[in-house]
Amino acid sequence: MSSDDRKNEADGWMAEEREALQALALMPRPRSTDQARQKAKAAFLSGEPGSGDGPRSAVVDLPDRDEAAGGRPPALDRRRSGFWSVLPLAAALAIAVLATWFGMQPVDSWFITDVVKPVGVGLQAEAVVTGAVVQAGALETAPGSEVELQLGEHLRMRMLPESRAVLPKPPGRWFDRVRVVTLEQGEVYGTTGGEPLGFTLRFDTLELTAELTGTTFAVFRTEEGSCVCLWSGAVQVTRRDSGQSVTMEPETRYLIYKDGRPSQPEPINDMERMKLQMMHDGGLLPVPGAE
Amino acid sequence: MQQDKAPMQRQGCSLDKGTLEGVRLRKPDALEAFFDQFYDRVHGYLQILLRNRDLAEDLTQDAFLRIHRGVDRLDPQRDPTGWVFTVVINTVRDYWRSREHKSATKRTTLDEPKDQPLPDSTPTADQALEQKDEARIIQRALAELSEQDREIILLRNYEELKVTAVAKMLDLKPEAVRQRHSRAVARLGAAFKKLKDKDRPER
Repeated sequence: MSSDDRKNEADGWMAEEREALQALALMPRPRSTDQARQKAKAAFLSGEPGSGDGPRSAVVDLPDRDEAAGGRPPALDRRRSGFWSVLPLAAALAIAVLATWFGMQPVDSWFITDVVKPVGVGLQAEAVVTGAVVQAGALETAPGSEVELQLGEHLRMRMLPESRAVLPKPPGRWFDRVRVVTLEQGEVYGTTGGEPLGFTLRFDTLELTAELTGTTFAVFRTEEGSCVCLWSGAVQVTRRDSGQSVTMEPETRYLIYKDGRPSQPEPINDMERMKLQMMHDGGLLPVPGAE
Repeated sequence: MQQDKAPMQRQGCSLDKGTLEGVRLRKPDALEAFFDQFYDRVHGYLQILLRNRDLAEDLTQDAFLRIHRGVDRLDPQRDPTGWVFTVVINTVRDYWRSREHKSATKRTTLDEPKDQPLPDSTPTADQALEQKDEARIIQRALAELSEQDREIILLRNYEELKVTAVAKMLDLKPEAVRQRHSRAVARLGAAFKKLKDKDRPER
């Protein structure tokens, strides 16, 4: 130790530290056995490890390095064992799985906002009454029956008589946010209350796929074919027969015939306008139980 | 062989440049002098560090074999102590990373207490009884430290190597060596005091 080092450190040590270092300095140097010394000497002079009766090599499974030429020692902290290398990955994976699971959990549910002739409404619900929570699945209205549902504070839909659809489960919190309503027959009117949906909603029929980005709309499936009516916002409709897509303008309707006849979007009729206007004006209803 | 009588510092190497040149050329008498110069020192360092004589003997031999393999790049103009201890540190670190060490650690944890007294600590005849006690206590205090703490304390305070030399050996900046050393000494001091206080009523 240099005199400068010694001086600097001697000034800074506490009594017990100085005492410990003094004891260390006086500690006798341990000696090896004569046999080990002789074997090591023979190995060193020959450059070859001793025969079987010598001390075995304690480091046998590591490649040679050029440290004897002055190379620096491997930094222990920077060389992690397999366990410590895998641990961050496992933790990240666990977080990702938990976050995905949590993110896929729905925050909203479907609930009934209006029912006409409830005995003719078939759906998976605790009871067909206003405020009842509805499970995803098939939904059907008999002649004269209507049911209106709302998904959280996002979307209100009304199914007119003699309609049949498959209702999707609510979208996840962060992930799994594409939802598809399959309309087999009948008429469905919907609105988001003028606000963007916040998730992707698609309507599928035999003739078309309609992806809605807003806001008040109707989808019909009749004897003629499938039709989408748009009051406000935007809808992209794709024909299943040709794959052709059309982005509809507000206050237009697009009927795609079953028989494949060509068609183009056209202005909505008065009846559709009235119903869409009513739907739009009704907006969204308060969620039961929410403040 | 000892032509150039320019002895280096006390804890450095007393071999002259001619001998070191002979080591570089692997001349047997020079290698023997080199071995005699460093063997006890390396073995002692390793035994205190590892607290296991058999292992220290094995690793000392490993280190000397590594030295032999790389000796043609020895610079006879410089004190080889730092170079020797760099090889020793690398040998120990390779051992610490080896499967053998990990399995030995597991066995130690499961089967036996880790704290082994240092064997063969033969004090000189003129050492007082109190010094013997202190040597025993400092051994136990060292045993309570981590291997990294023991390593830096031994290099600085037992081998009396300079901060800059230790920094080069450990691939650290000198300031980092000072800080790490300071913390290690604090822990050693605390352990030493605790053991000494504990030991006192027994006398």
